[in-house]
Amino acid sequence: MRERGRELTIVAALAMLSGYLSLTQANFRDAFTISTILTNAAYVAVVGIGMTIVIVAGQIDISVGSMLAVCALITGTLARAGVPMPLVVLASLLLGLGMGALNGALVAYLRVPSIIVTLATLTVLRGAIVWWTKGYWVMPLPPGWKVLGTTHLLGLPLPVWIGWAAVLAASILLAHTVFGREIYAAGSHPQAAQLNGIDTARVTFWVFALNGLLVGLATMLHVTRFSMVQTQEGLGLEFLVITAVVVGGTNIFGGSGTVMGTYLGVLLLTVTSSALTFLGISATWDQAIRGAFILVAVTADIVRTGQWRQPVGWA
Amino acid sequence: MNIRLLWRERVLIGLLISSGVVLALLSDVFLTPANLLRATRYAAEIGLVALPMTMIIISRGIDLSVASNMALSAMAMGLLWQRGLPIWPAVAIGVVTGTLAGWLNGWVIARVRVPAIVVTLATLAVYRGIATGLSGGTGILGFPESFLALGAGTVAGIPVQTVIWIAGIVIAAVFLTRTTNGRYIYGIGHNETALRFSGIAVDRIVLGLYTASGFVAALAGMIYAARVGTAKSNAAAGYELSIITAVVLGGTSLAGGEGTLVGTVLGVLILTILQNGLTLARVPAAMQDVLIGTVLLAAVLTYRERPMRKEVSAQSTSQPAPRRAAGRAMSDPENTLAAGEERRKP
Amino acid sequence: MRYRQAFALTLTLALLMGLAGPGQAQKALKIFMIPKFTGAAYFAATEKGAKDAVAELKGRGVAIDFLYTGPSVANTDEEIRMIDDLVAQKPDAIIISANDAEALVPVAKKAKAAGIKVITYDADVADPTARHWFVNQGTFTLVGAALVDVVAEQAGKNARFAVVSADPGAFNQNSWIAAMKDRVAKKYPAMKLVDIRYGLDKPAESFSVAQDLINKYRGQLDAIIAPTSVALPKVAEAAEQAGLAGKIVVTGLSTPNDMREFVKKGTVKTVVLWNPVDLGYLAIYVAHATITGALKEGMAKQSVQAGRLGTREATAQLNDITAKGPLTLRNVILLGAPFRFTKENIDRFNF
Repeated sequence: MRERGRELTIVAALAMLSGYLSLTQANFRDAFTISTILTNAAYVAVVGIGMTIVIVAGQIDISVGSMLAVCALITGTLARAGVPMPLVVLASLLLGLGMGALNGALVAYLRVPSIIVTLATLTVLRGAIVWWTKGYWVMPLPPGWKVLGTTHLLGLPLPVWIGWAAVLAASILLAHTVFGREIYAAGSHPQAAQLNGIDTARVTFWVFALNGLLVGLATMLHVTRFSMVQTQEGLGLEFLVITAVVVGGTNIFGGSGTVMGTYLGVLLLTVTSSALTFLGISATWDQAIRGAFILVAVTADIVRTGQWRQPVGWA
Repeated sequence: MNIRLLWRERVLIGLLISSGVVLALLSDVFLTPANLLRATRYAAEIGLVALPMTMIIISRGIDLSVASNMALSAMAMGLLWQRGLPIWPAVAIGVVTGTLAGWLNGWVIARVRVPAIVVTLATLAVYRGIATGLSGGTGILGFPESFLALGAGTVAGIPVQTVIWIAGIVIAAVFLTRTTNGRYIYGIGHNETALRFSGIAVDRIVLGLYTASGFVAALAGMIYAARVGTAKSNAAAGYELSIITAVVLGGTSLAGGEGTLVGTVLGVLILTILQNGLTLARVPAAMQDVLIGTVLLAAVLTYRERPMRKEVSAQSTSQPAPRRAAGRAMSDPENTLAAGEERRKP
Repeated sequence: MRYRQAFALTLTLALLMGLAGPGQAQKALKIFMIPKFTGAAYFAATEKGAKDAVAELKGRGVAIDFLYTGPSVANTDEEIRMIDDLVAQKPDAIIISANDAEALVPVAKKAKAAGIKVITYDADVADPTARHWFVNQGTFTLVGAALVDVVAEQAGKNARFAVVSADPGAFNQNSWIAAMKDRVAKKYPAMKLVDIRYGLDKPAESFSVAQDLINKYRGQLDAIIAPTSVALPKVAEAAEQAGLAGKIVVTGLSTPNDMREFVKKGTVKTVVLWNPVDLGYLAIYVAHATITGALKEGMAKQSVQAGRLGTREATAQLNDITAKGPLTLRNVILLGAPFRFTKENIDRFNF
C-alpha cells in the first residue's frame, strides 16, 4: 500500500549503528544487552502503536505519559490491596480504555481539537496524581507483581513477546481490516471518508479508546519489571513516542504510516541512547546529538523520496 | 479599524473578568496594582514569544523550539560576556544567534519542506542540547546592573519587559492586520497551494515567520536571563507548552487559517492571573494544574457555539467560510479546514 | 445567561470568603515553606517535620500561619513565580529549597529586601547574601565522602565505580559528585570513577542508563552510586535483573521508606541520607529564631534551640566543596553528619 522506503532507511541506520557497536564493543553483542534493549523498547513500542494509529487517523495524543502514570499508580494500589494479578492487568487495560475513551469522546463528539484535549488531560491527570499520592510511591508490592515483567520465554522477557504480538496485531488491524482502512481514510481525507459513508466521529472515538487500551497494556509491560511504582513514571513519554512515530515515517498530519515503522523508530531511539553510554559520548551533548540525528534522518528521507515538493504546513 | 470582538474573544474577556473577581475575593493582595504589574513580568516572556507563534500557527505551522532557542541565545550571550565581551555587544550577538536558529528552522521547513513539527521537535533537542554542551550545565552569573534592568527594572512604574511586550503587540498587530504579507499568512493557513498559484512568495513569508520567531525568542531569552540573573542551559524549560497553550486558549486554530493576536494576549493574561491568583489564594500547585487544564478545555468548548462565519468576516478579508457551509460541521475540528485537500501529498 | 452564572458564582464565593475570613488569629506569624516540588516523599517528610515544629511552637504560645506549597514537579520557573507571588502576601519568613541555585537568587534577594526573613533548606541559593540562613542537611563534602566511604568499605579501596545522576545541570548532584572526586583523590587514590550518566530524574531513563552502564562495564564495575532518590531504586533494580544483586555495590541518597525493600533483600546494603523530618523541623525553628531576632545574620558564636533536636550551632563560615570548586558557606546551620541506613537500623525510621 505504501512504499517501504522509510522502514528500509531505519533498518539500514539500525544495522550500521548496531554493527559498529558490536564490532567495537564486545559487551554490546552480549545476549543480555540485546535483551535489555528489546525490553526497554517494548513498552514504548506499545504506546507507539497507539500513537501511530491516532496520528494516522489525523489526531494526536500527548497525554500518554500521564495516562501511564495513572494506570501504574492505581494498579499498584490495587495489587497492594490484594487484588489478584490477572484482575490487576484487566484493571489497567480498562482504566486505559476509559481514559482513552474520555479523550476520544471529547475529540469526536464535542469536537475539541485533539491536541487541546490531550494537553488538558496531560496536565489534569499529572496534577491529580501528585495531589492524590502527595508524592508517595506505591510499595511494597506483592510477590506476584513482577511475574509478567520478568518471566522469560525462549530467552526473552515476556514484555518483548507481548510487544511483538501487539505490533503484529496492530499491523494486521491497520492493513487488513475494514476499521483499519477507515482509520487511513478518516486521516487522509475526512470529507471524502464521510461521503463514502464512514462515520469519522466513531472512528476517532475508537482510535483514542484503542490508544488508551494500549497505554494500559504498556503500563503493565513497564511497571511489572520493578518492585515499586514511582509517581514520576511516564514523565516526558509523549515526547519520546511522538519522536519515534515521526522517525518511523508516519505522516504527522495523518493518512499514512505503519506500525512497523514506529517499532523500528523506537528501536533506533533506544539503541541510540544506549550507544551514547557504550561509546562514552559526554552526557552533556546527549540531547544535541539525538536531536541532530532525528533531523538528519528525517531530512535525508524526505530528500531521498523527493517528497519535498509538498506544501509547507506542518505536514 | 474594526474593533468588533469575536465571540471567543468575548468569552475570554468574560473569563478574565470573572476569574479576576473570584481571585480578588480569595486574596486581598491579588487586586493591587503592584501585584498585577509584577505578574506581567511573567506574562511578558510568554506573551512576546506567543506573538510570532500565533502567526506561525495561523499559517498552519508550529515552532516547538522557541524555549530551547531562548536558552541557546541567552547561553551564547552569557558565554561571550564571560569571555570578556562587553554586555551589549554580547546581547546583540545572542539575539543574532537566536535569529539564525529561527532562520535555520524556517529554511528547512520552507526550502527542504520537512514538516514544521518534525523540524522544530528536532531543533528543540538540538538547540537546548548545544546550550547544555557548551556550558556543561553550569550557569553564568554576575551580569551588570544595566543588563539586569531588562528583567527587573521599570519604565514609569511599568516593568521594562511589559513595555517591550506592549510594543511587540502593536508591531505584530499592525503587521498581521495592516500589511499584505500579514494577510497572506491567513491565506497560507487556508489554502497554501492557491496562494502559490497566485504567484505569492509563500516560502519567503514562511521563512520570515520562523526567523521572526527566532528573533523574538532570543529577545525573550535575554529578558529571562536578566530576570533570573543567570544564563543557564535549562532556562525556560517547558515554556513552549505554556506558549502554545496560551495561543490555543486565545482561539487560534491549530488547523491554521484563523486566530487573532487579541485572543492570544487575552490567553496569556488569563493563564498569568490564574497562576498568580491561585498561588496567592494558597491553592496547591497540583490543583492549579487541574484547574487550568479544565479551564482550557471549557474555554475551547465554548468556541464552537457560534457560527464561524462571523469571525472570519470580522477579521479576515480572505476566504469567508465556505468550509462551514459545506457541511463539514460533523468532522473533527482539527481537520476542518478548506486546505484539507492541499495537505496531502500530491 | 453565562454572565449571570458567573455573577452568581462570584457572589457565593464572596459569601463563603466573608464567613471564612475572620477565622485566622491576628498576631500569627506567617511562615511559608516552598520545597523544590511537592510530589516527593522526601519533601513530604520535611513538611511533616515542619508541622511538628509549628505545633510545638503553638503549644508554647507562638501562633504560626504555616503554608507548605510548591511546584507539582521540579520546575525552576514555577518555583520562582510562586515565591514572587507569595512574597506579595508579606510573610514573616519563607523557607526555600532551590530548584536552581543561581536562578533563585534575584527572587530571594527581592524577598529579603522586602523585610522578609529568607531561609534556605535542602538546596541553597548561590549567593549567601540573598538569604539569612541556610539550614544545611550535611555539607556536600560530608555526604560525598560518606558515599565514597561506603563503596570503599563494601567494594574495596581500588573499586571502579560509576554514578547515575539527575541531570547535567543539577547543582546539588554535581556538587556531591565533586565531593566524591575529592574524597577519592585524597583518601583512595586507587579508586576510579569510570563514568557519569544522567537519568534526568525520570524512572525509565534512570533504569536504562543503569542497565547500559552495567552492560558496558560487565565484570569491570564494582559499584554504582546514585545521588538522587528517583534513580537509586532503578539502579538497584537493574543490578538485580542483571543477576548482580550483592555482587555490585549499589548505594546512594534516598529515604529509608523508599529503599526499605532493597536494603532488606541486600541488593543495597547501605543508603546514605540525613533525616528530612528533622531538616524541616530545624528549618522552622531557625525561621522562628530569625524572626524573633534570637539569630542575627553574620554574627559568630550563636546557637539555636531546636526543640527535640536540642541545640544547633549557627556557623558564620563553613568550608565545602561544590560543583564550582571549593566554597566557603556563609551563615549556615548544620543538621549533622549524614546517616547510614542499613538492614540493622532501617526499621527504626519511618520517612
